[in-house]
Amino acid sequence: MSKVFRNPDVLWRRESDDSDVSQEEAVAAILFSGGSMLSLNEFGIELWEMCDGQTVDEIVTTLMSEFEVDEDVLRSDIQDFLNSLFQKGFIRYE
Amino acid sequence: MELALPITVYWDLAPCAPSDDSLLRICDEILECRPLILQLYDPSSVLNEGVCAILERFKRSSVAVSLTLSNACLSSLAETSRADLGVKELLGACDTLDSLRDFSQISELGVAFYVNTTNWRDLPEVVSLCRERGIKRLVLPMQRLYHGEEPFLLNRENQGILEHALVAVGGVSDFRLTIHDPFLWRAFNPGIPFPQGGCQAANTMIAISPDGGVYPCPTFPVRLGEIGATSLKNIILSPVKKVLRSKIVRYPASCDNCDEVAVCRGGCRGRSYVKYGSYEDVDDACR
Repeated sequence: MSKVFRNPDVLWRRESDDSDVSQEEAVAAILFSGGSMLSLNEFGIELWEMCDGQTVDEIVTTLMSEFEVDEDVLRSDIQDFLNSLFQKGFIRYE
Repeated sequence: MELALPITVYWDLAPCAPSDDSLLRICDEILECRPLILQLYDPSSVLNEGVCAILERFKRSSVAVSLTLSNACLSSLAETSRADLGVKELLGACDTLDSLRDFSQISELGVAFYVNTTNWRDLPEVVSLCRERGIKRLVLPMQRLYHGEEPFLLNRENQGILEHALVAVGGVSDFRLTIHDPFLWRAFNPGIPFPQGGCQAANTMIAISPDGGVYPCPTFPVRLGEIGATSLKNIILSPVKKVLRSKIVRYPASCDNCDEVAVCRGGCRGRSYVKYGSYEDVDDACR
């Protein structure tokens, strides 16, 4: 199974609590590459940080221990998220 | 998306800035704001100690530095010296075809071509020259309007002229372009919405002028504060900045019924501010 890697050209940071800017959903981190910016929630940034050469199965297994959720639902959520990152060029598979 | 702290800091240095504590203090204040990118511009003709000290400070950080230097400065640097700068990107500043022709024949460099009223018609030849030399990175930097300079804009007719001229030289699909002006963008990328989601002044970006003034962006001459008088972070988190941002976060009301607002996102708010002294007027490049 292919491994997931962050694109090293993507710049990113965790957002701090400096902000009193109101957001519809808490922004935990932002990714920036080629003029495109993407905001991530806590789940997103946790997934993003796991894109370090792990397979999707390994990511699912790790996160199953953290969330009380059906594995198929979690896998689907993870795959949807990774697909969107891949389409934006933020991750690659090897 | 509104950010508390910018992701890009533009810092324009004074020529031959000496290496002193004030420069390093600004470095630390920038680092405290945790930007992702520092766009550093030095107009000096030789690489001076000040720039070297700044780069050394940022080498130990996660901030990606894009350094724009004069052609004279670049020409004086050996290949090993360029590699030692430790920057993410190195750009050569040009504003004429002649200066571009003199540009060091180094394909890994990018070109920052400062567009103005007298040279915009040269842009297709700029593209051709870069292509001939294997240069694939082209930046059209934001105008610096810190001191009441006359803003440059392309009116609708000239946008069309430029668009056709660019097509005639083979387009620009083989370039990695950065264009901050939504109407210049339109000439280079017809039909493709401007990617930045509207004016990002004082949101994803902040600018530091050579005299330490802090501005929403280099094209938006509203001085938010001055480094030294207070910290950069305090300026960015200040009510002054938040009030300004609240006035420009949405495009001008007069754009409400315009079919093109989804493409231009309300245009350059700094330019319209310079022209009309208001946050609510339409960018003249739209007319």
